[in-house]
Amino acid sequence: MYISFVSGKGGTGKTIISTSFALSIEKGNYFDLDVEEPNGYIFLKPDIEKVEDFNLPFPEINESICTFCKKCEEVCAYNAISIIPPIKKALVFDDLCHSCGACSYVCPVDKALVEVDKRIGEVRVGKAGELRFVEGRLDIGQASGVPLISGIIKNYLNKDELNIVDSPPGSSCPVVESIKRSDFIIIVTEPTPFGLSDMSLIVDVVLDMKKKLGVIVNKASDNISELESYLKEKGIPILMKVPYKIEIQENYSKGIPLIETLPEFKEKFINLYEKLKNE
Amino acid sequence: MKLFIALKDNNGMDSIVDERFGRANYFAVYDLDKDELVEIFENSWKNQEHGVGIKTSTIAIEKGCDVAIGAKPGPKAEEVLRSGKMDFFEIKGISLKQSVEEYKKFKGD
Repeated sequence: MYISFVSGKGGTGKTIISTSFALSIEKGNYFDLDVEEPNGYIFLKPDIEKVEDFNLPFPEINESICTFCKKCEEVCAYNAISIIPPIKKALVFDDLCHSCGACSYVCPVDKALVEVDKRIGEVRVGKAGELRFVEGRLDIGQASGVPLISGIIKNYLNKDELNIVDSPPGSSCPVVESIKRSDFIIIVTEPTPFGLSDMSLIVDVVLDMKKKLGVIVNKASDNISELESYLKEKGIPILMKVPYKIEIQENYSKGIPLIETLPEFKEKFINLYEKLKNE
Repeated sequence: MKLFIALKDNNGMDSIVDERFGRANYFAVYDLDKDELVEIFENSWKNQEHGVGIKTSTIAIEKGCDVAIGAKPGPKAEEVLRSGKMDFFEIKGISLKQSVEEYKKFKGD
């Protein structure tokens, strides 16, 4: 089973809830796919066993062999290549390249355009108790985390076990990439106008993808009626409410998981998992 | 020497210089030696999502231009211009005719 935690808005508590969910179930795989700033390790405290470079192929053009026919430039959907015949220049912009390989496929000249592996980030794999911990970490300055996210899902997901994914915030491509193979999506939200507004964006994405979903309300105050009426209208269940308590925040800043601050939540997360398994 | 000017509309020498470089609506090529307008052509790639400035700069060099005139190009468009040893003259909101005059004045200094 593959369960993703998303939020729409950043800072609603995706990580503190997904890590405590993982610590409660005590088995399976936890993936931190918030590759621009992974922080699940702060709560899971894994022993990292290996760190692997994550590379992607980028074209390199040898200007002394290239005939400047422009076939690679024309085939590139992202305008990542500039071929300028009058001055015999071939420029490649790695920032725009999606590593699709079309340029090397169409190049008619042997070895004029070769694809060269370059690092865009790393994958850290370890153990947190019985849990397998996998984290993607995008290098600073890289334009997109999408290939790193899809690479981790492809190479590390274990279909026979529970896979818990901590997604990036927002509702754009990296989030879509991290949830598109999910069996169930848990949206973590907070009862603020921003929380509701940003959540409505990710709700539209998830409904459009025809995925099963439910909501965990974090920092739940007494009055969450606006949030409740929105979810009722959309037919989305509230799976759990986590109270607003200053102790949770204080412990968060020390890397103490939610289920240590509020131990009764361990059973609630286990029950939630049992419920999701039967969905 | 040829100028490459990014334009908002296509109205001959009265066309207005665009506020954007790569995604301008039209481009003009102006031959400074003959003191005549060579062509004005439409930017058919302006609505592409990525690398529009790269494409614009590539075409400017291919057309044999020496100086690009318009709003400041983005960093990638600038890198391409630089690889073609093109200069850049920043100006916007005036007509094509005025921009050519402004460039001549600047060169004369």
